[in-house]
Amino acid sequence: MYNYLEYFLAAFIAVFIVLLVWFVVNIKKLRNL
Amino acid sequence: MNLSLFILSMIVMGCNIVSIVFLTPMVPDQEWAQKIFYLHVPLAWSGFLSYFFVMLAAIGYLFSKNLKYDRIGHAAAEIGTIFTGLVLVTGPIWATPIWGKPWIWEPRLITTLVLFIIYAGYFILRNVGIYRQRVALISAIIGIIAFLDIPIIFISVEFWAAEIQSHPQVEMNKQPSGILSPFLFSLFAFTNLMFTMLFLKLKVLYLEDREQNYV
Repeated sequence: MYNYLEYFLAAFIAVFIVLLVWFVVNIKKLRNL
Repeated sequence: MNLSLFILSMIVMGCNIVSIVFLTPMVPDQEWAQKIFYLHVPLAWSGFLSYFFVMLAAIGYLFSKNLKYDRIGHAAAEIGTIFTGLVLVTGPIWATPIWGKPWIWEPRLITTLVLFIIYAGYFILRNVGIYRQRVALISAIIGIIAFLDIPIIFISVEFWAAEIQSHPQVEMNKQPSGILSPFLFSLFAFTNLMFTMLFLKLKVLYLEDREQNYV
């Protein structure tokens, strides 16, 4: 049965990557200041 | 304090992901696509809350001309825009299998897109290179005006003809059982994350201002 798992994964990965990049960028900035 | 809040929000978010993936019930017809709801709605709520802080900080700046309020507004606007951007990404991913197309030009989607575009303009303006106090003043004015869009997003369902509104009002008491508790937990996790990001960004902006002798 088709369960749309790939749509959930796509949304989840999009949220995860954007937030991860934001944290990495800002923690790097914090360390350099 | 920042580090403990960071660790706490990571633990809460980890529990939230486990809850969404393993504990929430599968809704017939939508299956996994429905679970996007646990990301999409809390992101929207946290984003709008963040924009509310932009407005409060803007009022604070207009009255006091203290750059501390500008930093709060700037940090909250950045987080609100990231969250609203993610709402505009997760929404179409959810809509594709359920509505059959990723985007429908209906009031709530349009007003949310308008909000995102206003804040895109806000950040362009912050980076045009005019002097710091002028940027703070104009940003505060935009922060207050842009917030007016948020009540419009909420009432857009009644504002325009209901028949063109394919975006249902979320009435939690009509949701299948087992959805409310994980949804509220997700709401808490994303709100907590939003505050963690806000404090982190405030620290970065404070140090940047100090480096340029504005503090």
